[in-house]
Amino acid sequence: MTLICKKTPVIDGADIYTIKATISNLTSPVIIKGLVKHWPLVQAGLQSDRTAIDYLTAHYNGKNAGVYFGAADINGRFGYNASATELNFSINKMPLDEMLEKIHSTSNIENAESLYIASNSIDHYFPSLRQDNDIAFADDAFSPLTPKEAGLLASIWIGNKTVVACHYDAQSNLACCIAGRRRFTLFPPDQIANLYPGPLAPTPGGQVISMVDFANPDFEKHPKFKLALESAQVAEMEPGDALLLPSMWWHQVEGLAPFNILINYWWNTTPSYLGQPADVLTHALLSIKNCPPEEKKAWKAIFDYYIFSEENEATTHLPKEAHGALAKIDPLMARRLRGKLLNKLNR
Amino acid sequence: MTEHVLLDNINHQDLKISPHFKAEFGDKVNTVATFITELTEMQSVYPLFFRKDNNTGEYQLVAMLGFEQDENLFLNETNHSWQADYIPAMVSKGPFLIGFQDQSQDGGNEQAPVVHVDMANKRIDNDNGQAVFLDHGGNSPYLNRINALLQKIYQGVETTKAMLSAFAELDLIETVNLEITLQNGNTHNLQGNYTISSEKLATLAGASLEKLNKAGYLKEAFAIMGSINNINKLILLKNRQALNHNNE
Repeated sequence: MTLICKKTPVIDGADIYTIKATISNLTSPVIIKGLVKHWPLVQAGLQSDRTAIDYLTAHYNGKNAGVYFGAADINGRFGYNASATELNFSINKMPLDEMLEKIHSTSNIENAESLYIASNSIDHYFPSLRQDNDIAFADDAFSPLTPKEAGLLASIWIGNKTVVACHYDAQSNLACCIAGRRRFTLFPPDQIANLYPGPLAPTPGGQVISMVDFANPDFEKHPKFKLALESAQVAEMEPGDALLLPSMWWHQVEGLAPFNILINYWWNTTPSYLGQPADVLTHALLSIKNCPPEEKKAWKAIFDYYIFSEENEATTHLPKEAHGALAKIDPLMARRLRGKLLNKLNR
Repeated sequence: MTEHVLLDNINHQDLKISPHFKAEFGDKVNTVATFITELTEMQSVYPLFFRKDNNTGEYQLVAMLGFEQDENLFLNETNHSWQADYIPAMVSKGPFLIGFQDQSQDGGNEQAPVVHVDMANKRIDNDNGQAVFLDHGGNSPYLNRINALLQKIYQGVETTKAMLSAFAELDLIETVNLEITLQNGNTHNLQGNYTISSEKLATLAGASLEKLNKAGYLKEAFAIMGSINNINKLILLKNRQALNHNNE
């Protein structure tokens, strides 16, 4: 994408301690150069694709996984058919060693079909891989949450030339380019309208994607995408580089080499007893979206007051004993609210 | 003929299930499969036995409902009710069953248990049955109960299997011949039933006994043995039925 000049800032030679500091005040993306370059899998990949595949296969437990198959004419971009009602690729279940060979066999083919092993839990499919290829996050790396409370999940992504369309995730992300080359195109969360989000369902990977084809943007159809480009940035990564990506940032992810491996870590920034903001959106579609405009405006003011205001705005004028659900939510209050919602919703 | 489909609150928004029990629903049977997950409720009502599956040779836990073929002494064919304090889960679950769905793409289980409904089942009665979903698509109390029953069955299948193989391993299972004489002099000789051998259980060596107890099967063994006394209830029901028959 030649239109984006801004490059994601790069920290050089970072170690685990700088990551910790970076995670704790993560507000914008940053590349950590060579963070995992010493991993045996990265070194294997630097020798050859074949060496990396053999290394992976040696750690594979034989379980079938869902893999993406896209025809050559989708140009690697997993998205929709013309009416945006169906996906433009298929998901099949198969052994990953077989899929790795299939991907490898396309490396010399121009216009190959797009093959992708997307987002598979490393522990589930390559149980011993993390023994020698893992980031030793400090116990307080996700403070105030422990790594367990943060639900730290390590996933692996392997494919030929692919494009994962621009989307956001609710978790924070540390994405490590292991083999091949990766390009992340990044937008701050407030760019949602300029990115023309697609249908809520179906989605290629569980998240809504931008309908703009970044490789060939149609500015007549998507004029505001020009505005998005003004605040966009690009992170180019080679083997060993890691990208620290805050939650909710929109990102398109491209595998640029004939064979690409990415390993990423996801973690939550809130404890698991809290609800999912995405569920609130579903509930709001059900309950607020179709109210008369004046009522909607009123609800916006109410949400601004209770939810989006400074932490104590709704409580400072009240005695502490009267704060109830307006206080910081603890596991007990979470149970109360969940129970109340379940009862109200079931009708 | 069955027609199993995934239950959902859109395709099945008007689905209603008959609260009744009838011969045409398949309720007129003399045994029903049961599981240790409902043993507490079952043991006080029904005589429980093991039956051997002719194909696999494996034992199955069943409740006896009648002495003759197609006889269910708990079934009242006049008011279409099941006359017992507890109705076996395999019956009260209605036309619902557990299916499996691959939810691994959404980070779930490859074999996640989900509720299916047999749309060819005769218990479906959209005119007079009990509603599966609430007016706006929520789960009805009836569906919540079905969910709990299916859970009981789903968990019970494996745990019951494990219990039966533990009994078989310790050689505790013996055949039992039941000779029943009714008030009217009719006799029934019931065969093919197995239970726990009280003798073998009494002479079980310490280590085996401890193992059985630790697995939680010892109390189940006693419950199953003791449930044989419920056969008197069946005799009572049968005598009453014969009496009513003669009075008619």
